[in-house]
Amino acid sequence: MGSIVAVNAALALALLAVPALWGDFMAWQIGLYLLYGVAAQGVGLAWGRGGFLPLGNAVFFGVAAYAAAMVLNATGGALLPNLLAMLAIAGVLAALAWGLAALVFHGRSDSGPFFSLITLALVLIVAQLAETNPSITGGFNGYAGFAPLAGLDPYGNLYYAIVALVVAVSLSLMALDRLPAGLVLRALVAQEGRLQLLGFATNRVKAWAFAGAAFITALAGTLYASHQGIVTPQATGFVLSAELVIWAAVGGRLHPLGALFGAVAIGLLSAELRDILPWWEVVVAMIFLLVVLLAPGGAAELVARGARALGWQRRIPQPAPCPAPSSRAAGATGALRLEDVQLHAGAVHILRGLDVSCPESGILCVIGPNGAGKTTMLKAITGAMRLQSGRILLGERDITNAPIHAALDAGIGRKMQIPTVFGGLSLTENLQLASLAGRARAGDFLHPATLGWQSPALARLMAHPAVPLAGLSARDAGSLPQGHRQLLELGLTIAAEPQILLLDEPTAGMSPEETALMVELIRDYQAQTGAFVLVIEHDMALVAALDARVLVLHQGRNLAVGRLDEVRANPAVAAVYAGGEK
Amino acid sequence: MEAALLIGLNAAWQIAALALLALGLAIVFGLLRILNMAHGEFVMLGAYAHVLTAQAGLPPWMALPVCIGFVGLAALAVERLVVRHLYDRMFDSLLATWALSILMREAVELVWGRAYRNVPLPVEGVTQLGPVGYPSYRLMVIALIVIVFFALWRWYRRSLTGVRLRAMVSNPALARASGINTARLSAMAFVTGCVSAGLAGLILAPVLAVEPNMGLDALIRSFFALVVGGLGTLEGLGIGVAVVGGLQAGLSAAFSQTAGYLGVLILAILFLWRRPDGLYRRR
Amino acid sequence: MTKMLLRLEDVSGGYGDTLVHRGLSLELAAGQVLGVIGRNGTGKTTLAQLIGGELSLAAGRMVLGGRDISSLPPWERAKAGIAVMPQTGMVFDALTVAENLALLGPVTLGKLGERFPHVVDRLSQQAGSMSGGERKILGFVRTMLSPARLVVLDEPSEGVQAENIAHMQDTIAEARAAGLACILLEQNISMVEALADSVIALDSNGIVYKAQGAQIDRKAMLAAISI
Repeated sequence: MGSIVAVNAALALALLAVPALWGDFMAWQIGLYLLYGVAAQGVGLAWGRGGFLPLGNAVFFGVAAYAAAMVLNATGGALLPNLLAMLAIAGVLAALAWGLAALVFHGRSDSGPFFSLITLALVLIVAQLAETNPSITGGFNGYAGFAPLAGLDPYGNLYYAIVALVVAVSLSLMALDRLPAGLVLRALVAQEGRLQLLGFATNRVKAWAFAGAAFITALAGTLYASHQGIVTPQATGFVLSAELVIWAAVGGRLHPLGALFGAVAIGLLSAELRDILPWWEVVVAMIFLLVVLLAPGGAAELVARGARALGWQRRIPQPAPCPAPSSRAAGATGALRLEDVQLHAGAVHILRGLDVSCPESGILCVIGPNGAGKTTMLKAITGAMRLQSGRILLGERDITNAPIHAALDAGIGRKMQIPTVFGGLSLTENLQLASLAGRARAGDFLHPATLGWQSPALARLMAHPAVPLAGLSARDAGSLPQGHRQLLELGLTIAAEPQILLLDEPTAGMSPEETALMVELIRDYQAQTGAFVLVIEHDMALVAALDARVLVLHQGRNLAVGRLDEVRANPAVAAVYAGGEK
Repeated sequence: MEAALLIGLNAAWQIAALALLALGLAIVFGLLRILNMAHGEFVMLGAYAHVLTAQAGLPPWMALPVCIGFVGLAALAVERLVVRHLYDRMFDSLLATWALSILMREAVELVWGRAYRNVPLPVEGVTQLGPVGYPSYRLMVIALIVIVFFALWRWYRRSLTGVRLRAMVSNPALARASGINTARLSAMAFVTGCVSAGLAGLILAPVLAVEPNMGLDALIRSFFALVVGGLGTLEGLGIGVAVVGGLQAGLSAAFSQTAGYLGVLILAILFLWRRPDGLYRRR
Repeated sequence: MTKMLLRLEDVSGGYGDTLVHRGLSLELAAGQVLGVIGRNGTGKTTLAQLIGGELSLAAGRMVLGGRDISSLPPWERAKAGIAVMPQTGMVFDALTVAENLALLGPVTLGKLGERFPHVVDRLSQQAGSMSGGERKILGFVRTMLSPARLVVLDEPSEGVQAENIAHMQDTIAEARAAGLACILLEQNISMVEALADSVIALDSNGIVYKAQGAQIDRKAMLAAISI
């Protein structure tokens, strides 16, 4: 926490020095850009940590400003009721934002672009409402004539209230990055699919990010009312919404302070240059376009890259390792059974009455020609594709068409064909995330000690002398070679100790040595946990090395089951593989 | 009777205008999956073609070639410099075209200012339809849309370019393997979509408030029509503009313009929640 | 020594940084059929995509009729005379059978129409609504009708009835006699045995078996691909 406090103390000192150095008018002006900056930090949170871009975030800013102004008007600006009202306004808007995001992202996880347009439409409508209801909002002329918060002079002491808000928001956002909740958000942007398989309902994670964004933006809006003394429809307009995005992009959406600096810097420059250069706004738009195309991380990323080039390394203190609480995935019991599963994708019939009974423990290899339905079977089990009919049972429990994020708690872990690791996050962060999957409860995400949790299964894998991941803890997981990524993804999958482990071609792209290691790790995990492990594989040498029962799929049905020598001797299997009669 | 006819004509007008506006987005977003946030700005550029033509001292009918040239060149530049690198990356295309849209609005504001422009109706007067008189220009636009949609539908089904386009959308890899230069075809489709947006702006300019920010409304309503109707087919577009245009016309007539807007927004949110593929799904 | 139509020199390629082929070399003359066998997952489809240009080479060179085509996009390769029938997505599902064929330009079905009458019968049916085997046949017909010097067929017989496989073999044999070169990527050993002038078998480690003409041995091929 030390560095966060130091950064924010420096920020506070610098801001507090403004009135003394440049006078009250400058402080008033910077105060406005700071409020815009906080609102842009909200956009930065949704965009940089939620992975979706709200194009209408001024709606929270403007509505909060109107609401705060009305409360100020009713209470004469009294301090305590208004502080409470400001929090309540931001809270209500955050709750609405949560609901909207959870709804829109429920249907499909790739609705990000649609969401952006929904928010844009929202801001246009709310601005129109504000313009066309003058009895409530004052219409075009604005809502005015209310007292500022606690009678603070907008050109005087209100500035310090703004600085307090800026520091509180910045401190919270920087602290969030060090908390498990912040790690989950960054993981969401990096690799949503893997996060779902780790048991997270990602539409709700996005909803939290958007709620946070709305809360921060709304808080800035409530102070804006006192600062301006008037609220006009422009406070909830699309122009401001667009500017919030520009500031977050140019300043850098990935750093908690990027948007704040972006807003202040561009705001100050615009104040200076707007009247001198008639084409200034075109220049700002041009800068935005260039940032989007050439430097998507914005100024903060350029600074960070420069710092790295100079040899500055950010050292993030690691919490003390401690044993993780038991995993919900490890407690699940019961054998996996597929009964007459039918699954179509469009016109193509992939699974055609697939019946599979798995043992409760042991290893099963699944082989079969392309298009047999092997990967689709795993997708059906984890809920990534919906069955048209049939049932999937886990012991006595019916898990047919359960959502993907429910699979882990049910005891199912799946490793993908092309490894999905959290690129952009360090190896250590990948492991931290895996260690809390299936174990953490709501409160744990706000507790830094959760990041010290050690999953026994993961620790055992990492401690294996042949696993080449030791010493790479600071490496970006996305930059690891394929073989390393396969091993890391295995680690991510087994960390929660699922009782049903589904591995889709775990050795694809691996060297013979790495393949041998993978076999050893799979067998070791099975022996340690008594889990049931299902492996899809093409490499018959590997199937033989796993020394397991074999299931042959063909055209969406179960063609044969047995030991490898038995299925080899099966004439139906031989025909499929040699291409005789079909 | 009279009232019913008038309401029907107004709904037809709203739907026709929306169909005209949405067509370009249906091509660029529905077929190419580029979420073109600058769609509305191409509509806006098309409307300003009237202003450009007048400034150049050309006769008003020259606005048509001016519009096609002006918007087409802008679209070509955008495709070359920005969009070309963003096929298959919907989020990045959204962001980049959003940046572009801001740039285009600011640039137009710099050149022509923020003030509203009045574009005179090319055809004045009212046509008597039984008991009801309706603006002739609107009736002409409705007729034009019906003809254009029918012609387009036939072209898309029958012409070789239509087949190639559908082939590219259906299976890009096989299209490439069959000798179709998908990079060029995509670029052509993008420019066509943008020019179509520009022509919508040109045609609707006399009845819209022509100003730099006019494109946002066109973008949002076109987008909602596509969400409701479904992407990738003219049928879906037709259903979408009918539902969205009809609902908006109805709610606006019954309550207020804002209510019309709000109703459409809620409808779009419900669709994204419960039926993300829209009403008309391509088989 | 016949002049080689296609030559792959030390070709490496795959998906992103996952290389499927490392240093693969092969060559093929006009009027020859090269059978490529191997279990799934051994890189047959990757090879087809590398030749067609859908995947780009990570290293090596590809020459067609003396012209270096290594960096040509797929449509240029199609114009240079390569027709690829992919393993999946071998037809345009959204188009009718007639439109699938119309994309090739003005063509006459001729003998193909007699051999595969259902293609003629269903010209107005949407390709996506046909069964797997029927789509394979349409994809095959499309590929064989295209004006190519080299066709690459990725598992054309998968899911196709024996009678139609025989028709496919006749079609390929005739085209070969007319000078067409063909790369036949198959798991169907009988089809490869019937047609191939030379055979290679792929495994995760590259080419594990190579034979020409009379040396092609069914047992050895079976050993190379059986489980």
